[in-house]
Amino acid sequence: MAAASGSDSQAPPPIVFVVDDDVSVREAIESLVRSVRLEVRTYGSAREFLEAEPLDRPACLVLDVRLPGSSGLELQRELRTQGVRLPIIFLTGYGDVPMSVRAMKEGAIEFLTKPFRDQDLLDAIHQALERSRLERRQQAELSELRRCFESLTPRERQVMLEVIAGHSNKTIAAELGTSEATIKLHRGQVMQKMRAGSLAELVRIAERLASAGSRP
Amino acid sequence: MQKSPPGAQPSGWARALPYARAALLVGAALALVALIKPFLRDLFALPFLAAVMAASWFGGLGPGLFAVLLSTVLVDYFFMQPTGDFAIHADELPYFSAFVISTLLAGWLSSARRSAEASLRLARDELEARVAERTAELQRTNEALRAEMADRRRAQDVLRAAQAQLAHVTRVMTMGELVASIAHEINQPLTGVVTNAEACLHWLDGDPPDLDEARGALRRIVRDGNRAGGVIARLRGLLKQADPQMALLDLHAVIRDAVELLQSEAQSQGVALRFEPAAELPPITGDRVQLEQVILNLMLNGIEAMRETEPSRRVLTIATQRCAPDRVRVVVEDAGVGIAPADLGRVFDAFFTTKADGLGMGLSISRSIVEAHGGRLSAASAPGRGATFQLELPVLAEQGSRAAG
Repeated sequence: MAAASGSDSQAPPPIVFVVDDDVSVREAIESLVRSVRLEVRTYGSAREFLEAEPLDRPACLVLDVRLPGSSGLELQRELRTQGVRLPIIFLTGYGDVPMSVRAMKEGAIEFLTKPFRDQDLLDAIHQALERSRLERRQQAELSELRRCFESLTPRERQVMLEVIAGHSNKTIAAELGTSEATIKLHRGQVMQKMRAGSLAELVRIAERLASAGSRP
Repeated sequence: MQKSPPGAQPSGWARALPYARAALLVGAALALVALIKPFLRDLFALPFLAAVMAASWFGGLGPGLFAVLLSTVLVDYFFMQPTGDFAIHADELPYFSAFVISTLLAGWLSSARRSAEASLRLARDELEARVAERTAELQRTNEALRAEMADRRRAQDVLRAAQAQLAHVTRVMTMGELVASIAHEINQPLTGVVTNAEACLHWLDGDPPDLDEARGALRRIVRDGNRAGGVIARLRGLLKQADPQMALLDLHAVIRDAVELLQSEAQSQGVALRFEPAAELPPITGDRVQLEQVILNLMLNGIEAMRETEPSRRVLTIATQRCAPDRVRVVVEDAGVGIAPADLGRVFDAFFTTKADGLGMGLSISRSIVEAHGGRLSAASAPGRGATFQLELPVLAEQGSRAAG
């Protein structure tokens, strides 16, 4: 299964996953995607896809809404609970409006009705891969930040929290029962380890970590 | 015997003719005797005897007696002593008496024989007439019977046509229910065709063009096109309004067709179709379209019955068995709501339905089709746990031509 988390900032080649139980549709999409020099892997069912080896590459998923066993929407949810951020392009035979609304709300890139125009699918794939690359970059940055944050000592973390809360060195020193000079020293360490050039930047970093679920 | 037509009074001339013939015959006998008297001696009476027999044979008793009278007179006159008159010498009397009695007897016998033959002929003619009459009567009865049979056959044809029409209508309605999934079945290969064609253009537009890839895409276009055509052909087969045709059938092929047709519908309802064919199944005689209709019907009912079933248990099983040397069985089993015991006896009744939008014709038609094939369709159910329909068919339908619509 594809996972988009990685620390590698140099982008590996992207890949397109296709999950459709219908061999005609599957093989046709495979050929179409390869014809624009993109790598592609096809699967006949959601389970087959979930059981496949995860790949650390920019990727997107072309997914049939109607799948035997579990529907495409269920697979979308399953990927979400597994924490896999994979842009999805849905294919449907019906153009079922409520279903497409739901899929789009859950973050689908596009919802195409079969038979679709090749350019519509290829545009959607390129858009999805672009989003995947962006997400990977953000993910990489985030994990880098996390790594920085984790390199802080417990004392430094305490100081960082106080600093971004807007407290002065003097207040912090009083709060932690230490001297202002020591706090200043810790503060310098924090700025250096978190690679923040200014207090404003440190606050932004802290916000990003917070929104990503880390506990600064 | 007079040859005059019955009921017509013979004319005077015709009545006199036998007497004239008698006179002529006796005259001829006299002439003959006159010529050969020296050789005949006392046997001169024989030609007269012959003349009397001939006269009474051809003329009947009257002309016969007339010939006897004439002969007697002539014999008396010309041959009895004294000759030349009608007196008879006493010595000649016995001879003459014997002559008269013989001629009378001969005349009577001859005419009696003649009339016996005549009445025999009459009896025969009568018999022939009666036989002809009887034959004609029999022919009339036969024709009436034949007409009645034709009437009955016509009535049966009308009934069969009506049943065929009803089956066709229910078939069309079934197809109507399946429109969405059939559209999907056609749309899938169509998508394959369109996308492959676009991929093919990409491969050809490349620099250099990749002909192998283009060829592969074209091959898939052919395959997918045929696949879509196959769906249409299956549909057309079910929808065309043709008279039932009995033929040797592979029941497994019929079931596979039905399974393929319903695959998409089953999938959209979250139902898994499981086909468990017997290892070996002899061919049966039947109408393919009608039997496929029965199987489709049973399968669709099963799929519908499982709407409320929890998703993991939604399995429809179709199995075949050879239940006797000359009988095969198709079992369609679902895990749906089942059939209430009170309803079990009524599910095959026309217009009986438990569905909100059902017409109640499906199972009724199915049963009449199966019975027309010399088979049996029955239902069993454990309420809440599903229903099982059993379709039994003879390997060789006993009354193949009786297939109902």
